[in-house]
Amino acid sequence: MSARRLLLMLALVALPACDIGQVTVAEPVSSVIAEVYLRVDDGIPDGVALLHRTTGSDQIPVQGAVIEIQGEGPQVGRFAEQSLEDCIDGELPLDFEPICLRLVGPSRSLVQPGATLTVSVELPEGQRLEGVVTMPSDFEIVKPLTAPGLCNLPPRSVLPVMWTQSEGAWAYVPEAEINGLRDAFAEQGIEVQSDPVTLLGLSVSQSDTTIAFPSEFGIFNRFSGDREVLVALQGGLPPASDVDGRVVVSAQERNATNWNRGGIFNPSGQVRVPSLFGEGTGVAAGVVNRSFGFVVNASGDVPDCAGGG
Amino acid sequence: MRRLSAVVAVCILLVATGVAQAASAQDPGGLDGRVVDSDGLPLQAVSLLVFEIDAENPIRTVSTDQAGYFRVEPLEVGRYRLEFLRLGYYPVEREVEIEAGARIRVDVELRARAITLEGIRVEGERDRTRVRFLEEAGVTTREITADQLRLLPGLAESDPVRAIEFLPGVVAPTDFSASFNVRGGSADQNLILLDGFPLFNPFHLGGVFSVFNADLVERVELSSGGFPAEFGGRVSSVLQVESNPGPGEFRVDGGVSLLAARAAVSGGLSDGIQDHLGLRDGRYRVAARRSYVDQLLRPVATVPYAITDLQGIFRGWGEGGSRWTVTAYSGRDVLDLGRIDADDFPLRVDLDWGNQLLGAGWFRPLEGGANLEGRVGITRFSTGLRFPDFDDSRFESRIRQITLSGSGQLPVGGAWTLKSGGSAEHFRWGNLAETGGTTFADDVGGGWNTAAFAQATWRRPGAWIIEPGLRVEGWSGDDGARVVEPSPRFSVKRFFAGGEAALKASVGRYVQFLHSVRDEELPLGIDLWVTAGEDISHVVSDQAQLGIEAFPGQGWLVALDGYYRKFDGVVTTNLASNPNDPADDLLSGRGRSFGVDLFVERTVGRVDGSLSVSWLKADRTFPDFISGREDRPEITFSPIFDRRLDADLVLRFPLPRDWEGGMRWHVGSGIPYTRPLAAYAPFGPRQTKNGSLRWLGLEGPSADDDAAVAILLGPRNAERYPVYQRLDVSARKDYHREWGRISPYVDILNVYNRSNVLFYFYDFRADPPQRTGLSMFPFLPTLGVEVRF
Repeated sequence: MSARRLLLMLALVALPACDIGQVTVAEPVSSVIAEVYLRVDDGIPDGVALLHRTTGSDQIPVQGAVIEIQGEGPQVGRFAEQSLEDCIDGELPLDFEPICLRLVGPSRSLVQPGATLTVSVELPEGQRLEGVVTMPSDFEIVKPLTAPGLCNLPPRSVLPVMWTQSEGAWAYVPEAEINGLRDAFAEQGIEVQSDPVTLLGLSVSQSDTTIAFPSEFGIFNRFSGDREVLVALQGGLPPASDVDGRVVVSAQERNATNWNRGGIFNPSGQVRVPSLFGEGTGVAAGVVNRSFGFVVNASGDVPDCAGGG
Repeated sequence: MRRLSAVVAVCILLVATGVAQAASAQDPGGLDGRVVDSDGLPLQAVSLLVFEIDAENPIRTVSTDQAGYFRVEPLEVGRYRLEFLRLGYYPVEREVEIEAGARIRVDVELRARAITLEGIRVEGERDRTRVRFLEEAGVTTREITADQLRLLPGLAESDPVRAIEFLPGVVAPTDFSASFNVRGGSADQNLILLDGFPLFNPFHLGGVFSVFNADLVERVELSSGGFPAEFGGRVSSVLQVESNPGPGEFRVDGGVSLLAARAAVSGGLSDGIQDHLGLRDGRYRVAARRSYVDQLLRPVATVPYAITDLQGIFRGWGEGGSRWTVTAYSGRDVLDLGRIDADDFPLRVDLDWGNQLLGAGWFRPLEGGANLEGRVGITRFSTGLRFPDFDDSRFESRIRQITLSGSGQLPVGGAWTLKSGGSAEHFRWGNLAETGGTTFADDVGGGWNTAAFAQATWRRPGAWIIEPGLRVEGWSGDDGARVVEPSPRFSVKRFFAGGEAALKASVGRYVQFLHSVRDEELPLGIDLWVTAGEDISHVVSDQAQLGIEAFPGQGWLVALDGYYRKFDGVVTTNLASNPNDPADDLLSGRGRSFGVDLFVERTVGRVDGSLSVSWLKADRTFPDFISGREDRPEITFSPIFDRRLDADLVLRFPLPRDWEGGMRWHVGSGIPYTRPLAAYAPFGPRQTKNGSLRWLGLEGPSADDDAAVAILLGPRNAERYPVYQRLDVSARKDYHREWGRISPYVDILNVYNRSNVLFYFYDFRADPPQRTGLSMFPFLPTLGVEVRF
């Protein structure tokens, strides 16, 4: 939450404002939303797309849409429709009917760090969206040295994670998935709502290539129900034998950063900055990921995260 | 551009006519002198009315300056009757004979009246307005006195900044902020001065109240256009809040409102101290104000918010007529949500902000109507947001300005007066935002804004005032930016109808090297300041105005101004900025506004007050970063302060049982907003889940949370909220007792509970889609009491 929104929220709580009565308004416009994420995950190229429409609008099906990517050469990569489980993590809103597509075949190799790709989305009715994405360049995690392998993280310690710069990255969004926190924190009376816990960090700009784990993760959850957990994680992970997980450092380029951070303030919802243009809106995002695993209180043959060996 | 050219042509024509008439005039004489009280102390703002010996209407009206001096020149050869008037003093009349080419001296002593008569008060206020009319060429200035302020309905207590909202050309987009816009200018283009020294964010509670304690205010003046060359710093308006140092004897003014308790103590220096300092008189006033709800409710509840203001003014007069003024202010808002149990309120933050100001001024009258003036001061603002649970997160903003200025005025013979001066202002600012180990902003900057000006005023009483001037502004930024902007100004006023009416015109260029990066579309907020530099443009505004002012009858003023303004170099925060490019955090754009302001005021009779009607059209053009396109196509839209039609009726009237009543009825056309056209479910990628997408509605406190909705917007600010209306009333009564005075008061805001829209919320998930909203102030009664002894 930005400081200005925080201020606004605080002040509005304190002010004598009143609700204005409900009025029925015109049907919303029907628009296609296309979210196309191209990624290179520890060297493995992939692409996933979610196609849906604006809420409450005429639900013209998006089935049959064609999504293609093309680099500077003639080779074209095509997305194929998959089951929703292949795209979606967790529940979906009610009455939500998206389709999921995944990049298939050898053309996945088009998705490489540093590549510039044109993304096109064409619906059966002929509606078309197009955008261009330049993938961030490849990078390496330099601390812990064991990346992408596993390392031992002592409890109640904070690990400085460092990586090399990814050319073209606007931000890095490190993401941690931590297993076993529910049981580990139960003794302290701290309730963990879900297990595993997924926490996001943020390093803004190409040159900001460090983050402390786990203390600097979860910055988007600090005022939610996870606050108590995040406060407890400021000093490190709890001393339990079954806490482990994975940290992914995700270098994100312009389109991904703009779409996810949102634009101007509007009280009715989040405003996203698009990178797919035409008859609809959406994002053509490029991310390059590097990761490592960790175990708390691992047995002796797992190298130490801090020392790397 | 053609409009501007036409105005310039009219001005040139008026000047040419005036010069021709001046050439045929006879060699005139003049008079000057000084007005003091029975203790020999100079009296400022004494109105001097000059009558031809048998005439009923004055041909000239002037006012004494800060050292009690006045000067009337030129005057045709002949006999005149002089009338000296000031609130609280017996009027004095004199007759004088003016001879060709000679200036005679008239010194006057006024004796204090035991009882202040209402008729004298009204006459005094009328004459201040009239003095401006007769002495100033192009500037449009409206004034609110302390007495008027107290009868303007307010939120909890009188607010000098809120009070100006009823003046023509002023738009206050929301009830929740005392921030205002003048004639299509941005809020950061208003210079807010306390006794001549700037304050950057003079507001409490994110803008709901101003920091000014009405007990210390002598008057509030808003200059909204036609500024002469001596004005600089901001391009849109100058709001001057002038403190009253009190009567020079021990007195306590206090009050309790629903907002705060306050007290002001005034007094005078002892003879020994005065002698030691070489002063003839010294007066001071210090005041404190603090909110008390947190202390009052401490046994039963934790109130995490408190405000504190400390303010002081000292004014001393030297033997030679010099006047010294020292002004000080310190205020702080503290919002410490960390004191509340986290289970009750998980948003644990500690936020504070405030201003500090210390300034000293010196004024020295010289023989023959000349004078010298100097100022030195420091003002600063800082705010900090901290998170008790997370040491890695903080937000800080600060700005400091050091000012050194001086000017001199010199009658140079004939009808000409020359005023010139200069200033050097040093700015230093810093904005820091960091959380989770990353730094969103860590910017510092500053520089020197130097300026020199010269303006000449040529007066032919009852006929012409012509005021050419030149101001040269220089900016030397810490980042190496160097800018020099000549800013020519020209004003002309042509009197007619026997001097009871005048046509005035002015053109000028105005320059500003300071910006606030606050999003004005947020109804609350704190200005965060940056200065111009290599990557941040400065504002250049060319402005023209044409107006007419008339006094159609006893106690009546009618003024009509039309204006055109062009703003180059205004900035907006680029919310889609490239984090690798610090030069694109702010985007430069342009704007323009034009409109008409009508002001009708009545200052006599049982019912007095004013009517303001303003018509405005404003736009802003910026690169459209929301489009997402690399080339950022330009977008032109109406800013939130583009309230096309704005009308205010303010009345003061007697009520039964010696109560005094006040009312303000404000009607304004709707301000613009951007309508959402549709909503969709927002997703975010999960890299630890093979890049799967996760509905963000699962991340918030509930699936109904606003974070679960993303929206598609229609054209920027293409829709408008409904008409704004609000009727506020106030009533107060002074009970005089042997020990002093006690004054209870009641203010009621929004008497007929009009739901003025603050925001609309569009819910496209509902079937059928719904629009709800949040209103501004509802029916809101407040009360308080003031005491004086």
